[in-house]
Amino acid sequence: MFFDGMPDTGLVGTIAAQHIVASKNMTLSTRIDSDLLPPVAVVKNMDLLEPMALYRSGDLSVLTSEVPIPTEIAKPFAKELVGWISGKKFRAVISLGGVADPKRPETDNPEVLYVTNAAKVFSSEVDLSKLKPLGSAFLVGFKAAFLLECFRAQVPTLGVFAQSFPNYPDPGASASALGALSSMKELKVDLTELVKSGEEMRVRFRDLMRRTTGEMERAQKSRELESPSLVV
Amino acid sequence: MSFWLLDESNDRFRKMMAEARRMEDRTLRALKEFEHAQGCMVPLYELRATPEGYTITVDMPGVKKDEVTLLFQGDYIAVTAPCVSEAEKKRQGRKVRYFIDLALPRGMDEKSIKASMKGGLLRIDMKKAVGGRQLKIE
Repeated sequence: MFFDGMPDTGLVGTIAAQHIVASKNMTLSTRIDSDLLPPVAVVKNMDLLEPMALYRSGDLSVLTSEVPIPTEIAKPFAKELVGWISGKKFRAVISLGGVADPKRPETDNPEVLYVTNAAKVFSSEVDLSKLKPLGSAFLVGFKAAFLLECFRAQVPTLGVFAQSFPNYPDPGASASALGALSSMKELKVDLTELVKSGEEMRVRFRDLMRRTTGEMERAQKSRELESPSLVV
Repeated sequence: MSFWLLDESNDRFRKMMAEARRMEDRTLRALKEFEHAQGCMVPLYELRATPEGYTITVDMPGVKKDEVTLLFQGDYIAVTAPCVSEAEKKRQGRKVRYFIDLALPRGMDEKSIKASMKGGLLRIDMKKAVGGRQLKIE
């Protein structure tokens, strides 16, 4: 299974990815780089790492990044990535993100929405009736490009979006989304630590959130609050 | 011809994106320099319009209601609070505090300003000043 935790609204997928990687003691399996990405390296324990990497444990691969994907390369990068995923024959793709909701501060249990091209595949593992189908909506940014490519390539894909703070890191939304997917054996993780360390995570992910918000504005992220006019 | 136009507009789009990124980077660098110089953390915040006025939220994880100082200065509110994040303390090598001056929208009724706090999220609600003259539609 391939898990996409790239930075997006509320860093919902990124925080979830980080929690999965830490909980399952996943190891770095693939370094990802491109001439189109900003020249950034992450220094960790006297090693230099690319900001984007794939972690692996058993059948699960988790993609995460320390930098948001620049809007200009979202499409070619998504295309390249899905081509690679298709070649590796992952049994399914889960893409986790946030859906900006100004009413998020009023709830402690963020709603979880989904979009899939393989309801039959996923319904045996996830109780989709507990999630809300993403009705008529816009998706914008890297997640939109990635999901489009997955659907085009007919890779069984489940896009999961938790109701999230638009501009703050939202570990609560990550916990809700992971909770909704906890019946999948690859994604079964203890969420206690994620909830407990939520406040520290909100501080730690603050800078990435600022950068991601800037990138989302360039990708016309505000469209996610609009409804499509045309029924095609 | 159409391809040429497309290439040209793509090039212009890339240049605009690069300029936007440069400007954003300058702002973020100034913000980080300010934080390091002052030993503070500028919290993330958001301003939203409501039917009655505006709501500002400020994300200050770990902060309790009694720890926040709000100083109303007419056209802005200064927000300060201690930051208990171990990661930030380690990063800056000293104790840090949250600090931000929130510019207020014009035409607010200062007596209507109310603040509340839940889960480290400060919320400041304010109403527009009542007044003005109703216009008639002819």
